[in-house]
Amino acid sequence: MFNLQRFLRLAKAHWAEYRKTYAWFFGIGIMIHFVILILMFAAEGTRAASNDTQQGFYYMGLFLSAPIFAARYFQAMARPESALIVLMRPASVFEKWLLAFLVTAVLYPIVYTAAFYVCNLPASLLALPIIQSLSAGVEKDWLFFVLTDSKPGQWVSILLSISTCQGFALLGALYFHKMPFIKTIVIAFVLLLATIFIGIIFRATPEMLFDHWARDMSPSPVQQIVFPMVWILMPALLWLASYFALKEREANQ
Amino acid sequence: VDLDARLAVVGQLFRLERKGGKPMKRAPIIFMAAIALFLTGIVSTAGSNAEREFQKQMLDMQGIDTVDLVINKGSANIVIDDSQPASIQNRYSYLDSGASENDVSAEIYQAQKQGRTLVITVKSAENSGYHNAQLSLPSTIRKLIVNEAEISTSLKLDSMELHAVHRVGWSGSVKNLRLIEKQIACEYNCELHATINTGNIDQLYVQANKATVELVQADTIATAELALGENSSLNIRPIGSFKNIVIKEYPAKQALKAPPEATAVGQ
Repeated sequence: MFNLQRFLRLAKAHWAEYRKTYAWFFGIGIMIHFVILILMFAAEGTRAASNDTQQGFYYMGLFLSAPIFAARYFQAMARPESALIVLMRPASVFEKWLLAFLVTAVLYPIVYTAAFYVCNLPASLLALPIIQSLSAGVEKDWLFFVLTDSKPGQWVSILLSISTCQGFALLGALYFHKMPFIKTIVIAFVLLLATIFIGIIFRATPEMLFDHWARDMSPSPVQQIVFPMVWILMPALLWLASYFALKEREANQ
Repeated sequence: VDLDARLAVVGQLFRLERKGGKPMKRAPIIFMAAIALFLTGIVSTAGSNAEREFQKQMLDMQGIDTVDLVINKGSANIVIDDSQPASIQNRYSYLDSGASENDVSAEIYQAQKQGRTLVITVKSAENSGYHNAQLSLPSTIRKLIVNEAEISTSLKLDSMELHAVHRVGWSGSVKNLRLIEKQIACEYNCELHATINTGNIDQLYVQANKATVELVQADTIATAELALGENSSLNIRPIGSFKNIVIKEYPAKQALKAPPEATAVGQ
């Protein structure tokens, strides 16, 4: 089921085939980053360099690009001729799935973070004289955003929610044979509507669930069991579903 | 570890089959289970209150006509009402992970009399969320000094003078309402957002260097005098009521040192 040599060969083949695609993906992402940054400077002036804006850029970019990147990992599966090539690769389903997990859920956030800091350098350089000109009381608002600012609870939230979004996107790319991208977005939209609808009917307070790791909102004993279960099992189940979706695609070809 | 074999054992336990004996696809079933779990999590928050409340504290208002409310992180809802005793109750929206209850219990209200002024300080812990102080005050109050507040009354007051920094809203009837931008050392986000919502106001005076003033029902204001800086903006509804409004130049700094008391409140 798992052979390290075979897995490494698969990884090398994947890198050889997709490295240019990944370079383009990041290149386009960096271009969009700078275009938005210029537009924000035009609209808001030096406030576009504030710590809050830098944080906003980081999280917006991560949460928007990570599912797109995950959905594109198996883009070859959308066409029958290229899907066959992917599925016929000399590796087990588990190895293919594991490589997808490592590339999208582990490597992508790391590379994205590194790329963000390079892109964010102009904003931080612009923020520097502003920091120096302000008094001590308001200094913190303009400091260059560093990841260490985030608390451990926030990091758990971010990693688990990113992993959930990526698992969902990857599952959509594998499950739907035709137009997987559009179909996945439609399903996500339906889920959003269902969540809002159920939230209204039951007069729910969803922020208690979403902020479970980041903030102590005094959950009830039932919530203390349900919330961690939801947070941990959601990504686990979605990634497990994507494993079976890949397996079922291979069996059907 | 043969994961396939282990999962096959689990699959056999559930024996998921479609009509005709074909194995049922497991991916959509697991996906539905994940969604069901997520929606269960949402439903489990039904009826929960994300805010925490502190105990209500009564305020001694004897001989007091001015309240200076200092909240370092948050805003206030102030109700001027004679039917209930003067009190303050603080709420906060969340407590950051890593903070303990002791951090929160360190939060205090301090109410200190300084002549005819009651200075109320709501000190919040570093790790707690934004506070929302609920205040009930008697109609004997003539002056309120706040940072951010929504003030309302169902009474017809003689006069009220409001000093605010960031955002202030007024709802209620008053003969003479004065809204003054609080003078503080401010370098960031210094604009005052003042909204006069409802109520019959005989005389309104607003004085601010940089403000966004919104008169939601300007036709219920008999006369309004707005002394605003050149970067301020004004929103009036309905437009026909503009004839009752006089816009003046914001007083120069020298004049501000000795503010005009010609239309002093409470007289």
